[in-house]
Order: sequence, then structure tokens, then C-alpha cells
Amino acid sequence: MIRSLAWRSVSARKGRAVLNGLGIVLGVALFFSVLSLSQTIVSTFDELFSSVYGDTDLAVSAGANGQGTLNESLLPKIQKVDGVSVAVPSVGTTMVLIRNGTAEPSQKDQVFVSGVRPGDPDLAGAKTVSGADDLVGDQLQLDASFAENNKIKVGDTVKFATSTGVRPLKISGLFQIGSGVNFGGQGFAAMDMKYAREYFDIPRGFSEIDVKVASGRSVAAVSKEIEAIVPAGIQVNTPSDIADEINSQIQGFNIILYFFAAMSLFVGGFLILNSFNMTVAQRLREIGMLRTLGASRKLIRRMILLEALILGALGALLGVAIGLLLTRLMVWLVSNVGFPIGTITYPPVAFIVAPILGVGATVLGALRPAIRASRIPPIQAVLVEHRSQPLRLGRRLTVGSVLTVVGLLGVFTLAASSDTPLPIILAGVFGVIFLFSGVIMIGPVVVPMLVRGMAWPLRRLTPVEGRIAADNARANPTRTASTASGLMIGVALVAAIGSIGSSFIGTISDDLDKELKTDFTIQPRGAQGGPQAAIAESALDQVRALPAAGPATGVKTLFVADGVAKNQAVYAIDPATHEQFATPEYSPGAVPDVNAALARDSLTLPAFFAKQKKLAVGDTLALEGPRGSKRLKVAALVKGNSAEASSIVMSLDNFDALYGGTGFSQILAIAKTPEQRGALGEQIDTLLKNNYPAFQSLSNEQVKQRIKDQTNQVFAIFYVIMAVAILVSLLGVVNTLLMSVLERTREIGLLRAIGSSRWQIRRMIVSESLLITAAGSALGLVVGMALGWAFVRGIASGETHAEFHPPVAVIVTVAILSVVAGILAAIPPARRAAKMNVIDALSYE
Amino acid sequence: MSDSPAVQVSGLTKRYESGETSVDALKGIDLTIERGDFVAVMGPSGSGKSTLMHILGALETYSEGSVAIDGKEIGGMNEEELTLLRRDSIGFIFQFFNLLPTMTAEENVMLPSMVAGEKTSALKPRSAELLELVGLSDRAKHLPSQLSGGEQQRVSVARSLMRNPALLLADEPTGNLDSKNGAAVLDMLRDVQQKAGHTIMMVTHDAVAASRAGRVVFLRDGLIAGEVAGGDSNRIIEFFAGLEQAA
Repeated sequence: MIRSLAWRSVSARKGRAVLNGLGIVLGVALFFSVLSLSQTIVSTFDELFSSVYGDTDLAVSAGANGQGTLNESLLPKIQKVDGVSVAVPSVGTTMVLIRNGTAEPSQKDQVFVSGVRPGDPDLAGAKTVSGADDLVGDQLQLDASFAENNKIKVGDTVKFATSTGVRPLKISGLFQIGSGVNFGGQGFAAMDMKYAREYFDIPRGFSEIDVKVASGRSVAAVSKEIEAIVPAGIQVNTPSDIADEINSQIQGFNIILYFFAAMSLFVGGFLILNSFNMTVAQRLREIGMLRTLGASRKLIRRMILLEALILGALGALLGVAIGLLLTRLMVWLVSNVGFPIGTITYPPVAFIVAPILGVGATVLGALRPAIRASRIPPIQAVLVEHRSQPLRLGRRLTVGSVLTVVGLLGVFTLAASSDTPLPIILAGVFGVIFLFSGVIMIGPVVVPMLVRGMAWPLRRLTPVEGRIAADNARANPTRTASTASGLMIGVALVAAIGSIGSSFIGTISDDLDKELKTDFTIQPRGAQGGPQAAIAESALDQVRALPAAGPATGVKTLFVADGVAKNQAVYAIDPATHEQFATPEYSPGAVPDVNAALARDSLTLPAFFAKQKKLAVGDTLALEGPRGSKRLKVAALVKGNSAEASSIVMSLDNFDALYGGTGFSQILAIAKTPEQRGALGEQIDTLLKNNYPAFQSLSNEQVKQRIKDQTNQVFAIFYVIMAVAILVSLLGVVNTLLMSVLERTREIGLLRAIGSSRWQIRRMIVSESLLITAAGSALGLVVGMALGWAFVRGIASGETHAEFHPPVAVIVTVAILSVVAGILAAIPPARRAAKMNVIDALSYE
Repeated sequence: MSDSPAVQVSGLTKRYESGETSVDALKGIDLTIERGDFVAVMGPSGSGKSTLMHILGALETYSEGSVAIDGKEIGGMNEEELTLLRRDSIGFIFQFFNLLPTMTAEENVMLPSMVAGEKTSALKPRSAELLELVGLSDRAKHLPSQLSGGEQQRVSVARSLMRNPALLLADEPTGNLDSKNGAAVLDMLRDVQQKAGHTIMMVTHDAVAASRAGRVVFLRDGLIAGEVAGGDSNRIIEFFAGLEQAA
């Protein structure tokens, strides 16, 4: 019996069911697509590594970005290790396709080049698709999907910008890696090492030595033996180690995605809670009647929960279907940011977890309304009015405030910790949950106040409609508040992300202004990830010779695993001119003349790094690189956000002695006089265009803009996810307004009878909608900024410099969108209200 | 225009169609209500009296015939013109008062003019005057929930007069009141008619209420079945009983 009642209740209120179900549909779809997205990224990397490394068992390298940093003498040593079947050396770098005469900083034009020795076995397992199988002279073997994207055929001669200028290269053959991974459009190429050394200015050393272990020998054992003979800074990894490392780096990104997806399900569940609460209130008489007929409390409870179950199951089913589509959108977004994307993979677990979570959220959301419904006394069947229990506002305010503060402390703790063990992560997650719960509890107190304040301009604009709308919104503070709270959560997360983003960008921009004295930074185009092309040392002299040029210097960067830290950035500068180009912010206690110390036998450390490793000024670090070893003293600790504040800084001489780097990673240039800045910019651009199109020069403004663009690109994905959560909460607004229209049928009838036009009725509903959305958005912005602020303060409490910058763009966007959303959400209810038959409305009970 | 009657109805029919079947609610009504008249409309349920009132209130369309309110033919009016007619020429008094619960008595009285876009401050003297007329000057700041049923209906009488309409339509105004309060409201309507010269049409079941009107028009099966002068409730009851028997 209850089954059919529950089912009928769902199908009798189809519109409402669709509205409620849609929240769950979107939540499930989002969760499903986030799971699929992260699986797609992970399996792309897996595929990438298994295909790029093919038969490789071990890769010996000096860490990322390590061009030619392996001493060539290592090769024979490794070849002699017992169990090594083949050892193949390579040098790796990047070049840029010349399109329409110039090189663009687009990722789609970048090609990773591997210089290999002809005759060495190919451990990558690339399949030749067309053309020659072997390397021919200085010709290029190019990956087939890049060739296809750029309409390049075997035999074509294609111009590429290399470290030493533009080189026309003939294509001798095309090969395919794996099943054709899309690396964000980037290509792969192989060429004879001899020519690679010449064209890319890598006179000596190797970037990597790939090893195939003899059959029957344990890879782990051989790895140990190689580790024993190579210098300490050199890593010996299996391809799956490297894949795992990258996956663990992606894991952080995934956790954020899961968190947001969970939040949108939370909003979906919250929508269910609100709408079931409303349904129960509306069905008081019906439920009371069932009770007079002898239905037990348990039966009523089960009836409501079953209704939720039906709704949740339908929603989950549809959610998965939409999730399949949403995944494509998300994949497209991340591939735009530069994640390599292979074939889209839908993990089986997503088909199980996402629907279960959806149904779970629905049933959980319906739990409280179900219990409330079961407590409805039979007498309700005959009562006309039901007096709701008065809210205990004082208690709500107290408990809510405590939760809010505890929540903010939790977020602060997460941000303040430099490590992220599980308890700290939990502190952060529960911090956010506490914060939202707290604000939801305070809602019925705060929201009517907000509504009152925001009604003021509306009442100026439309005295009657604005007034009635405000009255209506405040007539049921709990309902209005919980509707607004749904929106609040979504907006708060957007504002929090926005705050963190704008604080990050703002702090870095400020610090750059303070710490960077350079006018122009010359660096590889589209520099991000992968081995970067170095700038030939001769380019520095050419820059210095420019008419408008003042001082110029070259810097080198390298990510090394030096035994002190894994993947630590090392930054090499010229101590003699250092102070002309940068003013690093040294912590108190530094040696008097840091640059003089750097010129001799010292280095500086990032302050946070020193704290982590318990190092202080005066301590000595024993560094070992592929070229040699050195003992360097800590001269100073660097704060701030410059490259120097996150790297081990040493002199170029010490750097070369340790790591033997080639070329510069950046050239910094200052104009002779500030007035000549513009001229210098043009001269550098001309120089680069004619000789080094693979590089670009950025003014400080452009550097800041790039940081901004890159940050915004990554954040775009988060915004998309949160947009879905906000969409879900808007459904709640629609729902509440429909309810409000239904409850006020007679009032609307009266207003029409005494001469209100349909437009006035519509305006009234739109006004109510605007009040709810504006209150929700305003609350969300405040809560979100508080969240962001707590996070930034937490970060700043460590050694990292961070200042809170309010997310102006986000605030403005949210404010505008909340008006738009308020109007959109009001369309269905306003339509219903305006179409109402006046006579029926007046006789409505 | 001022010499035209307040209501001029001729040959009015109203047919409700739903699918194949159709019901004639009004089958040809001719009715003139002069300015300053107080007309009660009586009839058994289903006689068409509510439909007639809804049409005169510009809430319902009709099938054939012509209807002029305040000299204005409403047949060809569009939705917006009908809205303006309701706003400016018609005042409603309902059985269930229909006051807005969040507005004070004073605001409820001003509501029709507020809807018409007039400034609240300019409306205060008029609403004070009307509240005094209905004897609720001391209740101006009360919410409907703080007023008795009789007081609420008096507020709604004041509201119906706010814009000085050409026609007051009262739909069972005493139907939800006890006899004492009902009588007070009827006295008030009579005062409004006799002292201020308002035109009133009242639909009612109650012969005593109808007797307060100047004319009592009887409806049966969508047609006018007769008319008697107001004043004597016994005659009205007799006539009404005759109607019900004939039906």
C-alpha cells in the first residue's frame, strides 16, 4: 500500500518531482564526470608512460628539466652493470613550430625533441607509420598525430624555432605513440643526437639514460646496483615510478575536484530536504487523514522515504546519462589547460558510486522531513491551520556562530600546515562543513535581515510589488533562509576559490613589483612542463649589445633530486650583478653581504624549506650533482614569492660545477634609462623574432598577466563545477517560489481583482526571487571570502608570504549573475502566478 | 458620460464549454443599474448570479450580448484595459475579506491606489477618512490577524471605496459574519449608498441582507425571474421560496 502511495505521490506532483530530481541528477552527473575525468587523466598518463617508455625498464635522469646534466662517463659505467641488457642515452629539449613566419606561445605548436644515437635500439616502442624507420642525417622523425594536426607529410621541410634560431628540418618518417595520445596538442620528435646537440646548444652530457634489464634479471636488483654507482643526485626510476609520481601530483587536483563534486551533491541533498519539508507542510491534512485511518508513524515515515528513494533512483539513473556528456565537457576544459588526454575512460566504480551517493543524498535529505511527517498528529486532518513551532532563534544564533568560528579555525589549520597528514585534511574538510552548517543555522536570523535591507531599493522601484515580495520572503524565514542557504553554499565556494586565486595573484604581483627590478624577462615560449629549451649563452651578449639595453644577465634553473629534497628547484644567478636585478626579501639573521657570500661558497634557501629541513644560516649543505659535489654554506633564508623564494639559489659558477647546465633558462634585461624601456622592448622583440623565435620577451606587466591567465585557466574548471552546484540551488529557488505562489493564490487573486496587471504580479514574484537570490549570494560572498581569508591567513602564518586580496571580479560577476539568476528562477512561478484564473484564485482554499 | 447608468446589460449570455458538452450559465440577461442604486441579486445555487457578478467585475468574459460599466462597453476590451477598469471603476467586497496578512489596516485600504502607482504619503488622508467612515480610526496600524471578522470586513469596505469606483460589487459580504457584525456591515453599505451616492450590487443568499437593498433581482436558470423592491424581507423570502419550488 505504501509503495503505491509513494509512487502516486511522485507521479501526482510530476513538476515538483522533476524539479527535486533535477538537483540529484546534476549532482550525480557531476560526481560521475569528476570520477571519469580523473580516471581519464590517470589512464592517459599510464598509457603515455607505457608507450613512451615501451621496453624501458629503468630511466636514469637528473630530474625534470635536466638537459645534458648527466655526465657522459656514466653511460659506460651503467652498461657494465651486471644485468643491464641495453643502455640508451638521449638528450631532450623543446622546439616550436613556425606558423605564418612566427612562433606562437601556443602549446599546440610545441614539440618535445629527443636526440638519440642512430643505431641504438628504440626502447620507446614507437611504431613507424610512414617514411623511413631509421634516422636519416639531420632529418626529423615526427609523431603522426602532431603531423596530422599540422598537415605535415613525409618529405616536407618544416621550419622550427630552436635554441639557436630557426631551422628548416626535413621530415624523414612519422611514428605513432601508443594509441595516439593527445598531449594538449604537443608533439614528439626524434633526431640524431649529433644534430640535436648542435641545434639546441647542448654540447655535452645526456638528459636521460634508458635501461633495459636482461631477461631473467630482477629490475629492482639492477636498479639498486645502478644507484650504487651513480652520483647521489641522480634518480633511477621505473616508468611506473614516474607515472606514480605524476599521479600523486594529480591526486591533489583530484581531491579538490571530488570535494567540489561532493559539495554539489550536498546542495542537491539540501534541496531535497527543503522541498520535502515543504511537501510535508503542504500535505498535513492528507497525512493527518492517513493517521486517522490508522496508519502508523512508521508507515508514514516509510512512505516519505520510499518517495525519496524512487526520486533518488530515477535521478541517479538520469544523472549517470548526463554525466557521460558532462565528462566530455570537463575533459575538453582540462585539455585546454594542457593536461594530456587520451581516450575518455569511464571507470566502473563511477557507475556504482555516483548513483549510490545520489540516492544516499536524496534519502538523507528526506530523513528529517519523514520524521517530521510521522509526528503529525491525526487531529491535523480536521484542523484548518497548522501552527508551526516557534524558532528558537537565540539558540540557533549561538550554536551557529560557534560552528562558524570552529569551521574557520579548521580551514586555517589546513592552510597553516605545510604538511597534509590525514587529520589536517579532515580538519579542513570538517572546517568547511562546520562553517556551512553554522551559517545555515544562523540563516533564519540573518536572511530576513538581509532581505529587509535588500528590499529597500526594490521598494523604491516598485512600491507595492517590492513591499509584498519582501513581506512574503520574510513570512517564512526558515524556508527563505534554507533556500538562500543552498545558493549560499555554491556562491561561497566560488567566492572562496576566487579569494584564494585573487590573493595568490595579488600577492605575487605585489612581490614581483618589490623584488623584480628587471624590465624584461626572456624565456622559452609557452614555458610549462617538459624539458625546456635553453637560451644559447651567445644570446646574452646580443641582448647586451642592443642600443637601449642597460645591464642584462642570464639565470639558470633546474629541478634536481639532490638528496636534500625531491624535485627541488635550483636557481643560479650571477652574484656580481645580482642586486641590479632582484631584491630578495631575506629573513633576519642573514650574513651581511649575501651576494659576496654567494660568489664564494654559499647559497640561500627558501625560508619554508629551511624550516621544514631544520636548517639555519651558517649550516653547511653537501650537494652532489652529476658534474661534481660541493659543500655550500647557508648565507640567508628568502621569504616572499619570487623564484628565489622557492629555490636553492647559488652562483652560476657553483651551479655549473655541480650540474653542468647549458644555456640560460631566462635572460633578464634592464633598459639603459626608464624612458628607453619601450625601445628596448622593441629591440629585444626584433632580435628574438629574427634569431630566436622559440623565445619570447615579457615585460613585468606581461609576466604578471601570464601568472594571472594561468591561474585563471586552472580555476576555470573549479568554476564550472561550482556553476553546476549553483544551478542545483537555483532549482531550489524555483521550488520555493512555486510553493510561495501556491500558498498565496488568494492574495494574488485579490491583487488582480483590485486592478493589478499581470506584469505587476510577475514583478512581484521576480522581486521575491531577487530577494532570495540576492540574500543567498550576499551571504555566500561574505562566507566565501571569510573562508578564503582564513585560508590565506593560514598560509601566511607559515613562511610563505600571502596577503588577502578580495576577488573583485568574482564579486562583481556573482552580483550580476545573481540578478540574472533571480530573474530566470522566477520565470516558471511568475508565469504560473500571472496566468492564474482570478475567480478560481479567489475561491482557492 | 455621467448620465449613462452605472451598469447596462442587455442580452447577456455565458456559455461554458468543455469538450463536447456546454452549459449555459446565463441565457440572456437584461439589467440596468442606475447610479446610486443598491441592487441585491438573489437566486438558488446554479442560477448564474455569481457568473453575472464575475462578468460585471471584469473577471470573466461572456459569450453574447453587451455589458457597459460606467458607460464603457467592456466587450472589446483587452486584458490590460480590463485591468484598468477593475482598478479605477470597480470595488470588490468578498465573503472572506481577502486582506493581505502582512499589511496594516491602513495599508490594506490604500492598496488599490498603491497598485495604481500612487505615492503612499499622498494616500494617507483618504485612507484615514475611509477608516473613520467605517469606524476603525483607532485600528489603522493593526494587522488583519489583530482584527475581528467584522472589523476585517469593514476594512475591506473601506478598501473597496478607496478609488471611488463607479460600481461596488459585494459577494456575500455577510456570509462569514455573525448577525450583529453582518448587520453593521450592511448598515455601512447602505450609508455608503445613501450618503455618498455609491452604486452597489450585492450577491447574497440572505433575504434579510437583501432587504437592505433598494431593488432585489432574482435569477433562476440563467434568466431574470423577477424583481421586488427592497425593504420587506418577508416578501423576499416568499418570492425566493416560490422560485425554489418552481425549480
